[in-house]
Amino acid sequence: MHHGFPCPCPAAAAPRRWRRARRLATGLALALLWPALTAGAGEPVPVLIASPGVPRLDTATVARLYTGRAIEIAGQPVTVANAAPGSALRQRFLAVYLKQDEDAYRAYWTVRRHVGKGAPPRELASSAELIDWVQHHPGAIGYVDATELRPGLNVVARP
Amino acid sequence: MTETASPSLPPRPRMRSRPLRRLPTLALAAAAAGAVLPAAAQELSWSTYGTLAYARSDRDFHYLRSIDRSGSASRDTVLGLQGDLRLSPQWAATAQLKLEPSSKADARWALKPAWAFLAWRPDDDWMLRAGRLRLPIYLHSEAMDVGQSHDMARLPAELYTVVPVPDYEGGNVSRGWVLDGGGTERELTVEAFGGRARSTARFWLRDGLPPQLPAGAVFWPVRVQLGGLAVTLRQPDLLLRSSLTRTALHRTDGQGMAVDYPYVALAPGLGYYQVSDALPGPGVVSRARIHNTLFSIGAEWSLGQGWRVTGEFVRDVQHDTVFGADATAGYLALFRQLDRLTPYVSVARRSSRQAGFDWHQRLLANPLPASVPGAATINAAQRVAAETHWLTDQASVALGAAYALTPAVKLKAEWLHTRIGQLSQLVDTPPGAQTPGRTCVNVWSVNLNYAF
Repeated sequence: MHHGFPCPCPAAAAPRRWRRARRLATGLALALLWPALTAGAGEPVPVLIASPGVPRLDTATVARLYTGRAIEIAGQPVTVANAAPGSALRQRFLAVYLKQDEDAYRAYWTVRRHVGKGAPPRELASSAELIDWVQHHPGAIGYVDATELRPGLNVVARP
Repeated sequence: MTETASPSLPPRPRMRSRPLRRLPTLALAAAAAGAVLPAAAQELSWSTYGTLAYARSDRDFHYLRSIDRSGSASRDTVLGLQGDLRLSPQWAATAQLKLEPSSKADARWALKPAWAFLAWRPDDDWMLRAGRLRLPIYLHSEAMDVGQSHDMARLPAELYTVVPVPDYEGGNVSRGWVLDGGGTERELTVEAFGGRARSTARFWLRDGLPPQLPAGAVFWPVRVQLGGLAVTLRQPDLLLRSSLTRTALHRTDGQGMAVDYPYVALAPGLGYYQVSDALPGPGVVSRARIHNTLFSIGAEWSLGQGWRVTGEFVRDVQHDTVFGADATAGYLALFRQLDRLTPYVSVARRSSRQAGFDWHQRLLANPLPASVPGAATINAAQRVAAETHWLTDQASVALGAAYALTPAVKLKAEWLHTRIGQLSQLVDTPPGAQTPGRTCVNVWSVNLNYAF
């Protein structure tokens, strides 16, 4: 019988306790599994884009370009650009393509610059700025998050 | 450059500072190159580095120019600023200015260009550079001023002072090869370099020869023509470098370099060595140029688990004379990286050719008695000649640590124990004291290093 008030009888209280227990168990399970369920979700996916004419690149070539050991692709001079220091996109790019973290990458360029082997790649503050730079400079190469890709961009490498 | 053979009582040199005057020439060349390249491709970036240092010893005499019991900030302190102008993917210009204790006077600081060069990379493998460059001799030659780039509080003086002024004006051509072996990427680089350098040889005269040569530090400008080859192998866990350099050194005042002192006998068992043409005798044997051949080899090997070992060896063979820089030097260092902390221990050794020490002894051992007319001048001249031989016999052990405060800043501290053998040109003899030999010096150093 439904009368709008909590029923004091034991027979009516049992299902509510079961519902509360189920909700508690579900919450606990979600709390425990949440890190696993969300791993990778929301993490940037760096995709390399380049000006028209630059061919596809393998990971080793990308690493050589971003460490200053290569300056050309198939005889064409190229210039690379990085995302802003400390950004999640840049950290992910360094981890995926160079197998380095920000500290190791900065340390590498500190030495390379001061042994007279060149300066580190230019750094652009936003993906919009990078896309604009890539589209207007022959031989330009950079990277953006996969969610920011737009039609017409020359994608040259994906993780 | 390699230090000079003993000059024979030269007049005090004129001090000149030409390198800074050449900067406008390079800047003009870079500007001209920039003018013909697309403006959009150009990019100027700046970086700065520095070491703020303090060191003190437990002895009254100066070690390494300025370290003594009262402490000194000037031995290792250096501030640098570097500008890199990228004109295109192939063309770049680099200039680096540094402020450090002058190489031409004690107790003075100098702002001078460490580098100023134009670089051209026609492709991935070749690089041509022209201008003022650093000699690629040691593992840390190019970045030796940038303390943040290595972990030792001071690179071992036994080795790194064999070529004390390692910049030159000329060219450097390098060719690189990427060697793929078993999944490990190796990079082999061969560099050919050549040019000339102006250097200043510093000598410490305990008594001098007043009024012509006062006591204390004297600085003699020399010029060196050089050429050489360096081979470098880099792979993730190993850095190897070897070089061979040939130098020809001459004095800029036109005087020759003494290579032998004739003995002038005054009576049986009594005589002196004629160390200057101003003294009576048949004449000092001299040459216009002194040649040196310098061989170096070094390796830095990562052993895993944070362990790393570094070793370097250099042999400087001085031809033409036994007076001067002939030296054998080396060091071995063991590092262990523990997160941000990297403690290390190192041992180093340097020794000169025994014939040089024999001459040093010969010149000082038998002074003329005061009853001989002119004895004071002759004795003083012989001491000056002995003190201008670049002789060193010493060994060191160092314990230290570097702590990375941030990726760009390192704090370092070191205890260094140096044992002087017969004598060391890295020690200044105090007035009235015996030349320090068969003795020790302890040096405590602390410094803060940064590079942004």
